[in-house]
Amino acid sequence: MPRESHLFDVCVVGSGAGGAPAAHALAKRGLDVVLVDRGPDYDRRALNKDELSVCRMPLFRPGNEKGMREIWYGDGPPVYGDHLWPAVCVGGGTMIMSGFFFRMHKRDFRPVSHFGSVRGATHQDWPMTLDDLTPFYDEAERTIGISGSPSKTNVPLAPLKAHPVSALIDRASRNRGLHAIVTPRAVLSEERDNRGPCSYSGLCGSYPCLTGAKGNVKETYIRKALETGRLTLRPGQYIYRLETRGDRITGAFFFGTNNAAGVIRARIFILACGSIETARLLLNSHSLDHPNGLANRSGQVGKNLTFTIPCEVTGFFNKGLFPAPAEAKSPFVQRTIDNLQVLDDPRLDYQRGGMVVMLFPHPNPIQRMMTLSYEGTRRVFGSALKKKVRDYFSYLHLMSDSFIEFLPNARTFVTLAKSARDYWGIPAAGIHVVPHEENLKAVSVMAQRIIELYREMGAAGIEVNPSPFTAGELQHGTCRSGNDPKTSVLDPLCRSHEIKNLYITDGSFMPSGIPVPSTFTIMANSLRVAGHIARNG
Amino acid sequence: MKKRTFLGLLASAALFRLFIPPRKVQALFNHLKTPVLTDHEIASASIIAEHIYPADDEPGARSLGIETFILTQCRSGYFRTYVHAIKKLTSFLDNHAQKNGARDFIAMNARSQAHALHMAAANNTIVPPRISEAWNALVDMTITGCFAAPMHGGNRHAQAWRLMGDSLDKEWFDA
Repeated sequence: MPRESHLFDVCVVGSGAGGAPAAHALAKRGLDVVLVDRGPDYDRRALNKDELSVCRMPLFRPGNEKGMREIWYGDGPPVYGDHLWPAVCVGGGTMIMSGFFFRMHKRDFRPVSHFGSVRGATHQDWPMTLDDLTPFYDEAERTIGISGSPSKTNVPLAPLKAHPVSALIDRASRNRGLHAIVTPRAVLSEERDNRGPCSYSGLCGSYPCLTGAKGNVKETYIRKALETGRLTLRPGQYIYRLETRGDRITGAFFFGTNNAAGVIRARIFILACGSIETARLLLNSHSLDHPNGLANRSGQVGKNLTFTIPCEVTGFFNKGLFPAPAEAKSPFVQRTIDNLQVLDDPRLDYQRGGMVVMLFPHPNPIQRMMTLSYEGTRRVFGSALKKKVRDYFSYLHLMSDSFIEFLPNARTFVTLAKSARDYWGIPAAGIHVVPHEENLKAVSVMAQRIIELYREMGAAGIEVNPSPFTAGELQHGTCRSGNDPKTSVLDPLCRSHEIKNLYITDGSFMPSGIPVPSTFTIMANSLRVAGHIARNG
Repeated sequence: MKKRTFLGLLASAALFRLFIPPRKVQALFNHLKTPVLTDHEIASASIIAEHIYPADDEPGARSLGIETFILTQCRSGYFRTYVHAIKKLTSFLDNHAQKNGARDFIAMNARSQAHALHMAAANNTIVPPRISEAWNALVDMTITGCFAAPMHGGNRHAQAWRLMGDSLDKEWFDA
């Protein structure tokens, strides 16, 4: 194995929302930074909006062999394959995000103090406050560009154009006691910083942006970091093990393209591989000194995994009530119901809901046909399938996508898989997902409120997707932060209690789920941690 | 086996392991193992696809070009791994046809073919799970072939998207 003699100041593993902002902040301050990602580095000019290559097949996914995982949903049998991955490429999940960028509320940092503890849930108050993050939210917003942001600190960017259905939602929300706000989007409404404005193509979430309007970290932080001349970007290198001496990491072993292998040396290591992969890397880096995995003296690595609990409700509307998305000037609904984050329902012990983003279903024809071809586990085919498709498309559809706070619990965690290894023979992640009972109750309360909204809007039919299982784009927990080394993996500044030169800046640090999409918060925290590293080394 | 022979074999294996990375060996075997669809299997798969997505006022799978899609995608495209599924399903259907007095699945009349496919689609104890999996794979492939962008070989002139009416703007997909 070739030994690398170069010693970087900082090695950042993972170039998504958690890694790239830190890499830029540190490179800007003159540190010698290497940013490593297991995925390829796509040039936006080489990408397209083809559903088959972008959404259905492994352009942004690792493939079953390389991205093998063993997943246990509830009490069902394990599922094997490359599931629950955000995009695997330089820029990570931000490359194909929808870009709903909300800030957390003050109370979200104190879930236990504010909403109480719940039996079977392991959530904790955060060891930081909104005040700690606010300057970094502002900084991230300036770099990314958020259209329709409610922030008063930054120069506002006009909201994206909204589809006419937004007026209907505003009116119905008022009548049903709901509060609809303009959805802040990390998508430019006007040209800025060598990035074009949104083209309103309708193929936004799950697709790469071809104009550069989407505020992915590749177009923003990574580009700017490369301009400093202090960043070395290394795509296609998969870090599978961290080597330690005492309480310090000395090297990161990787497999590169064509089965090449090597090691990266650095003074400081920042992990931002996503909560699942970060935990897996730490667990796979066990040694005589760290028999339970790296930074795992507390036994908390892999525990407290959270996602967001989805609550998809689709309304069927007669044609003519509003224009079809493809016929309007904008395919974006641009409305979010923001007063369902705190619920007041006697059926709930934990009065916690989440943001509800209104949108049109993704227009992906293959995905829609796949969904329609299922009736339970059976496949519909022949003329029955065609009839079902015609019936479905005789209506217009509006969808709500909720981001309910996921309660961490003892049955949702990451460990090493019992019987699955990846392409290189490294133990795969074993992922166990069981949503807390309170979350399931919250889903039905939230769904009811959305059903009322749709009825007020004149829906001809309503369908609730009953699955509480997430697609996995938003991952948190697994290396929670806290003041006590016995119960947490990281200190409040996201440095390992145990390994002195290890920081973690993806969503792993979060000690509870949050009721908004987490990408913006992960970016802000990444900048906060980078600031600390730059000051203190 | 003599001790010397055994040690010799062990040493050869170690040398082989040393000089040829195991992944490359596996890749070589995988390459050799990769099966190719026969004309009969492609024709059968195309008929199955037509049953899954039949013609009516709008074109069905065959006139949308599903055969071209299967040919190109199973040879070098996204669906290379589906070759096994097609082979399993067509072989199962041919066996079923022969038990019922026909030469093979293709030789059966449309009604008998539909009956056989309903049997393969049924998630019950008569049909082995591997056939149910193969059936699901064929349904996935047919839907993908019909509704993917025309550049992949199916969905001729983007005619399949017409079924979705005004929910799609074809220009979005050309962006």
